[in-house]
Amino acid sequence: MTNFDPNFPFEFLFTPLWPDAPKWLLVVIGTLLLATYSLVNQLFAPYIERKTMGRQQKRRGPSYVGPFGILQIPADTLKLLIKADSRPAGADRTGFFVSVFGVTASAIMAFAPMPWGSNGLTPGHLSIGFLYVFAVFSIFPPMMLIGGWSSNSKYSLIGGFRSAGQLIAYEIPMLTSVLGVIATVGSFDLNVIVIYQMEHGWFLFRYWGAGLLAGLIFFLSGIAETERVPFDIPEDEATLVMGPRTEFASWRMAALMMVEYLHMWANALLFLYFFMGGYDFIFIPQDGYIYSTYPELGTALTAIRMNGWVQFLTLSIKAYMIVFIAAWMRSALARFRIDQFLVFGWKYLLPTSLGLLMIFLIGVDINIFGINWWWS
Amino acid sequence: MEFSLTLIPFTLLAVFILAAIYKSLTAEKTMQSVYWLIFMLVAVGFIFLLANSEILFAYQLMVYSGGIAVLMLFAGLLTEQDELFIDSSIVGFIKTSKTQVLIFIFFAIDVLALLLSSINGSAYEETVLANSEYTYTDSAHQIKLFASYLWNGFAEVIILLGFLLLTAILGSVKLAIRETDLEELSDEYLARIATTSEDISSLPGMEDEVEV
Repeated sequence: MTNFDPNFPFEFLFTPLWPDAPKWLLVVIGTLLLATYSLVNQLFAPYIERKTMGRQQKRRGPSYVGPFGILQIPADTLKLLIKADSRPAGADRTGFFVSVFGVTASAIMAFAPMPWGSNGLTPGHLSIGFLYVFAVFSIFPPMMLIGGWSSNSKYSLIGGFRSAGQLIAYEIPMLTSVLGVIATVGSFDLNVIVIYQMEHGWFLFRYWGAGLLAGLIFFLSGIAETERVPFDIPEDEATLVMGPRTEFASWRMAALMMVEYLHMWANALLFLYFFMGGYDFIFIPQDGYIYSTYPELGTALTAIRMNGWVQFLTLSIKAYMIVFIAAWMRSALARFRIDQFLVFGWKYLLPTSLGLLMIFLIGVDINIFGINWWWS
Repeated sequence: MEFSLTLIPFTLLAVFILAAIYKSLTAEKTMQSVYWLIFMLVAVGFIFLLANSEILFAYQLMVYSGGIAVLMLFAGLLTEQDELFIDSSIVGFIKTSKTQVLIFIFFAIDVLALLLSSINGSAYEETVLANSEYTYTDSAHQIKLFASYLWNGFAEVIILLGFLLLTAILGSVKLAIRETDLEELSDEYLARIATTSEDISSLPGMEDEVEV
């Protein structure tokens, strides 16, 4: 399928441009470019969210700083960075610093195995792919609890407890909902999963609704993992001020806000990789009816869908669509109570995702999904 | 041995792990001890990543730094004893953090000596290096081979470490039970129970319920 080095981002661009340049230098430049792109998106995701929420609430949203208010988020970041840093009296110095550092580092590291195209556009290729992202995400709950405890504030501590409990409760359905996909493909590598969907169709529309349900569970768990409305119980403003983030100011607050959007972005990308074909721009499987009946159309489609720039743009646009849906949910829904929320996670999502896993495994094993519909 | 770029992060991580172990053992508060332990576990995970064992890295982070760490944090936060107290008895001496550090260093040197003697021995050269298709300077593969050798032909260290862990777990359970028993039998606890019972029984309509 691809002849590109998985550890060499932008090989298709750099090799013709600088054929004599040392490879390690190009790898460093390519990785830096991709990492910067992932991080710069965190300045635009809040803008899209605030604009969407503004329009839904009959407001204009950010509109003063820069054209169409597009520089509002960089201006907010700058303001937070130059504000005076403060630490509550009695706070644990090490825990107060390291919790922010650990949370931020883990959120940035999660982007390493995420491919932006089939032509080696991966910041750091790892064969375990999703397992690595999941492992890095699992540092988040203890760090939030440490941050809450070290703030020496009861609001932060209760928020930290809630945050850790919530993250653990929704990590498990999140993993089990995609285990069926992983078992079907036979790989944790996100690139392999996307290429499998290019050939056989997106998982969201396969397996007689089981894929749709698994995708819904994954999406809801992802929203819960990012602690956003309607699952923002740790940040319950009316009772907990800002939850575990209450005492963090200045650059620490900026870092934690960035982490929130990094998590949202990472979960959106994971949802796309597992259920919506990742960087694949159209839902037409290569082993299906259209490709076998109209081979010329199939060849043209393959040329477009394997183009590096098309894949890169497709993934970005799809991810912003998920950001739009998350913003929509934020402005439209009310917050759960913590008991409702935990009951929803443990009693409904977890058994359903386990049942779906069984359906996936049994179905794939005895090939009950092998029937070819006109679109598959 | 030829210089490799991997040695720089490895050395930094090794120093950090040792410092984190020391801080974890000598921390004043339980929570501080637990979070230093978590940092140490994360750093061990990165050592696995340096050795190209990605799957071990993932499990180290998921199981130890993520799952068990949260359990320990919850346990630390939900218990009343936060400060480390030291009495003058022999138990107090063993529980002293400096003694623990000394015991740890003793065992660490012991294990290190066993490992070094194993590497320098003829069995290691015959089983690992002789069958290796890689060069001596390929450090990542050397670490992998060494790990497989450790697992296959050097089970004593694993058993020794397993016994150490088991002893620590049993000791902590024993200490927790002892402290609970002591608290339940203390005069202060009995007095508190008695006062609470009197307060409740003095309320109108509560006499029967307290007796039951």
